[in-house]
Amino acid sequence: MSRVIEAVPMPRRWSTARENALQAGLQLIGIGAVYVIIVIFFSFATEHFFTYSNGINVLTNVTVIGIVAIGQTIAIISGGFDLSVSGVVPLGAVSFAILTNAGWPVTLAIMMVLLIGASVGVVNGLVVTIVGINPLIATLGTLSITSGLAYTLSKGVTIPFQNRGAGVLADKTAGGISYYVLLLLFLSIVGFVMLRYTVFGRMLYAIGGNREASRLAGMRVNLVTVLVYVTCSALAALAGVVVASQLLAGSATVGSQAALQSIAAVILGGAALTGGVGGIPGTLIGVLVLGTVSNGMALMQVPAFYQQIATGSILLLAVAFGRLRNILVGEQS
Amino acid sequence: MDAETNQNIRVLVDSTGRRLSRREVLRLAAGFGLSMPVIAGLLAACGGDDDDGAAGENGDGGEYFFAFANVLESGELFVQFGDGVIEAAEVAGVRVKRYNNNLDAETTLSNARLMVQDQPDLILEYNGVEGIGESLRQIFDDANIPFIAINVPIPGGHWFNLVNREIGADTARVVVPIAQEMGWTAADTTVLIVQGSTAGVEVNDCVRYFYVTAAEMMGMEEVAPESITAETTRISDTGLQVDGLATLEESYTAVNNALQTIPEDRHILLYTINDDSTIGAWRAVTEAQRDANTLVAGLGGSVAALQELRNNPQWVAEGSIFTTNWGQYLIAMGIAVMEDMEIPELTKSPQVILTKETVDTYYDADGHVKLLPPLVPENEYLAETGVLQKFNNIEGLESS
Repeated sequence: MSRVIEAVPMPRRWSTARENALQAGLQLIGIGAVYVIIVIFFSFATEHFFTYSNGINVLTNVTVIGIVAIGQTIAIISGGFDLSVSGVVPLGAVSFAILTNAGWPVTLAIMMVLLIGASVGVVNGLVVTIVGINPLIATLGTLSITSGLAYTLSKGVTIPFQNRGAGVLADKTAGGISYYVLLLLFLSIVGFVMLRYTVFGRMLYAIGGNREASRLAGMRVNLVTVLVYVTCSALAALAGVVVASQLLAGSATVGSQAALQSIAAVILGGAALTGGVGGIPGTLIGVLVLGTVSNGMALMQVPAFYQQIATGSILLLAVAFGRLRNILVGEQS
Repeated sequence: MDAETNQNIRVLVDSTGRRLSRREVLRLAAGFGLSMPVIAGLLAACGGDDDDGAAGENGDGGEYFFAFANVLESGELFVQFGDGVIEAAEVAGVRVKRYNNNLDAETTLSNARLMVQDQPDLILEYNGVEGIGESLRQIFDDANIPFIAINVPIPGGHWFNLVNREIGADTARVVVPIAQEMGWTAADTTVLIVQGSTAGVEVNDCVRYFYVTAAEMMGMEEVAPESITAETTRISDTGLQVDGLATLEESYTAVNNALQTIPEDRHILLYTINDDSTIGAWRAVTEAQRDANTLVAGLGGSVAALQELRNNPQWVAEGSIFTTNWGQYLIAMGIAVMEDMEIPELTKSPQVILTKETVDTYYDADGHVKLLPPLVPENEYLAETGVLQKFNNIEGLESS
């Protein structure tokens, strides 16, 4: 018996690798240029901005969102996204505080927290792939569950570290840079290499570009999708460890903005919510843009309400700028 | 979807009559299986008698029956407060039925309607949503039931609350002399206050009155309290306000940024609207290695903050409001209402500024309350009910 396979049109962005790379490169240059402009503006606007200590301060402030955003980049490239990170970050922070206070060695506690995060990722992945629920609904559900778990475990109160040594990730190197900043850089490099140079990474772009075509091409789409959510949640849990180390305490209130800020950073960095486009360098610059704008406005003593308005406006402008450039590149090609 | 019999084999079909493939059946089964724990959890959360609506009732009680709506039944602070009301009612011999307003306007109004149906003698209403006070008043007045508003005032009712402005000012009166003893002056000191912009004016009174009082005592540039709003960032040459959104993480980030603008040789007086915020802010100060040059005071009396007050030389004061013991004051206040005593416009919750010298007087090593401060003159009517004496835990009040 012959089997009729419906023809699946190849998306235009698959038409040439060169065009794809050109778009990504232009996007990166674009957001990079935006970042340089922001840095120049704040350097003139406030004397406290362009200093070494404030540079470290910006890196310190963006690390948690940066780690979450690496996972979010992977999820968005593969055509999904993960709202549950806003629950996994506090769950990771609270779990880490409880475990280290119970006398667990830091390394073992971190591994346990990663396992907790990965478990949430497995649930997310299975609900999205096997049950077929939209990632928005699936991860919204797990966001609520994990956030509730964090409150339940902590009984709604902040859990300070009994052993200050548990905050080892916040210890500083000779240059005054915390280890967690180096961790962010390390994870970024790993993420970049994975996406750019491994089969798994290329599969993510393919699945994000066209899920059905990828399946027909023999890729194990469901397995890859589950792995994506596992990675994303594990990184969010690790971000929870980092924020707990920063604060020397675990709290269910931390990370509440992680989902929105990480998605914003990924989109700023040139990824498309439709999947198949994006990358770690762009995301990192997106994270830096958000962190630097927030820092610069704080140094300029702009009231908090206006900071929110300005951050949202910058996000919209940057995304619109990227969209306009994509249209122009499309017309030229 | 239903099942049809086909040659003794039950085959699953969908609503259009199409037979489902094995994979589709597995998917549905997996979906059902995965959904059940979630649904069960949700049902447990919604169906339990500890959530929205009535949340239980204490024993047979005595002469009076009060209805009590707690603002929220999650989070240690609120749960302990609610439990405290029930325990106090048992000691006082008052029957109490407990509700959960769930920090939500609709639930609060629904609970108000439920409560009046029971025709209690009095309602203790802890509403966390500003702006629905008039609706609540109407429900209670229509039922002709007296009520006590907790924290957020309701027109026409009695009011029980802490006084944030007094806590802020009293804290400054403790912190500033310590700074002055160390030789800190207006010329070399910055007051850094951390507000929670979304918490409202009354809650933020503590930080702005802290600045106002500290500025007056140290001879800094004085400003009117009302000129320090949620949008204020630079108060004066010696005063900065940042927004920590009342949380640990945001306060850490906000103070991290603010420290960049305060020269390293300046001393800092740090004060925030609650202990979580203070812990986050203090962490930023220590990371910047400016702790030796900073004096800090907390607000809330949390276990973590009490530990800091006992062990951290720079943490010199802690405002405590004894939330866990509010119940005994509320029950006494309720009985005073029942007995037609004269009730002041505001009955103040117990509050005291703890120092390193006094912390052990009021709290044990585990952070449990040992003693409550003496009644302020306006609250002395509470002693006349005879209720507070039953607890034998208020300074200067002999047990019955």
